[in-house]
Amino acid sequence: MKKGKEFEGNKNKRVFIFIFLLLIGVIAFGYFTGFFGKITVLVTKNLGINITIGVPFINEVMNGTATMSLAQAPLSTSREINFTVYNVAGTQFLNDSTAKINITLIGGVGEVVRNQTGACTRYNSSANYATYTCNMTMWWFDGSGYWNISASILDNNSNAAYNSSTTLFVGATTGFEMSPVNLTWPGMGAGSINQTSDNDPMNLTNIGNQLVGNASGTSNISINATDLKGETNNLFMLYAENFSVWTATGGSPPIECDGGSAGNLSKNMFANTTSAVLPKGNYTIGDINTGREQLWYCLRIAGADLPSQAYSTLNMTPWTIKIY
Amino acid sequence: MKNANKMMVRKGILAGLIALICISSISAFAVSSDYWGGHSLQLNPGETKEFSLTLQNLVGTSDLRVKALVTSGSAVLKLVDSSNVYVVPAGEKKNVNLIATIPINSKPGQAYNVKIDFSEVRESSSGEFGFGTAIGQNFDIITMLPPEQEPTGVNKNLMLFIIIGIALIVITILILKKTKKRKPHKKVGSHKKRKR
Repeated sequence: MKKGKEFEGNKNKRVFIFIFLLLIGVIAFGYFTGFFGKITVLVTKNLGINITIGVPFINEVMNGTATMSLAQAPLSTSREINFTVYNVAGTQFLNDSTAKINITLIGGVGEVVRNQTGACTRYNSSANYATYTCNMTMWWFDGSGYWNISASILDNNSNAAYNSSTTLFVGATTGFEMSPVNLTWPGMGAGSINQTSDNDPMNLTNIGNQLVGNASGTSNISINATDLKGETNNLFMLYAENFSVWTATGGSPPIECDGGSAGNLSKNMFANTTSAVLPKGNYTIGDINTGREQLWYCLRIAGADLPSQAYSTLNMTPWTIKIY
Repeated sequence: MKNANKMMVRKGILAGLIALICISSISAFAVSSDYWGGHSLQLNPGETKEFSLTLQNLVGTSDLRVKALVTSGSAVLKLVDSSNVYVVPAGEKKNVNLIATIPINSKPGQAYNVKIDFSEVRESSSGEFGFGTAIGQNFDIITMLPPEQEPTGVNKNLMLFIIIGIALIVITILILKKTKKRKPHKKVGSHKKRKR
């Protein structure tokens, strides 16, 4: 009986040790094979799934994020956006005329929401799935960044399906139009002062979607000037430093001759025109401030010793207006 | 005599400038980019990325010649096309190909400001006071934070397994000790019982 008890105690002990050794073995195995890495990462997620029989559901918009860039003004840029609708009751109950896309610039202040009623058509359809393609038109002044795409449709019972999980990336377009590209002056004599151009203002128009400069005086519009050399005798010239520019005209002497916002322009150096700003926008509305800037030029002094000849940029590089 | 000379100058300059009136026109081109001030290109240390900017001459009536130049950040950004003068036909676009490389020893968050200037190549004719246009494209290339390193996860797991292993060994030893202590006690008790 005692022997039996001892035997039973030893047996328990052995079983106990065996179990512990087995545990250590299993843990070691788990570590070295990465087995635990596969089974110990437990992720709990709360998934909210609303399933209502018979209500349409937009399960895909465009296959993820798309990228595009806008054409320069005054052109528009079209983009096809597709979305797929699932309807358990059948696609014949979807109201095609209500298929719609809205796009909104994320974080965009003062940006237009782009939507076009009737721009979507069903081009593919099965028993329960229907795919719509929508032609979205954007304009040169639409902001750069991520645009949120909202797709929606109603069924014949006015049950709505809505999806806004996809974005459209629109790149930056920077550019401007300049007119005229040559300036002229009326006849003047040697020693003349404060002579203004007779074909300005030079009109600058923002043809992209980037603001150039800002109202606080950071212009980002600069001018690189060169001397206007005599075409017959290039030892004589109208010096770049004797020209000035301003964003307005009028007064006596003319305001553009009074140092100007670019001060005395410098030869072969970009001088910032501090008061010039080129906001982006739909300049075709005719508002002088929307997407436009005007520059007025003055020759402050023509040297008294200048001989009679034509002075031009023929023998020098043309002046350059740069935006950045 | 002085007056006569002055008239000569006046007539001469006038003649030169009158020629300008006939040749005024419009200049317009644009540059498209996926990166701009406030939307930077992000790369890992040592990473290289090829990308392009697009020159647009979509509304022009004549071909456009544009010279591209990296004026800032040339250590990390280079033009890769054979020529840096691009001819953009009227009504078309043209890509300008670039390659950006972040140094391997670049610190996370380090920003490299890059600037590419696109200048219209234009020559003046006799009598012209001509102007050209230029566009500066400016953005940052930023070094990204490195991805979470694998060794850190391994070390965490290793520590966990060592702790569990040690705990199991300690528990085993304690249990063994307890059972050993009990053994002789039971045997003595059984002898006493026999004597009685």
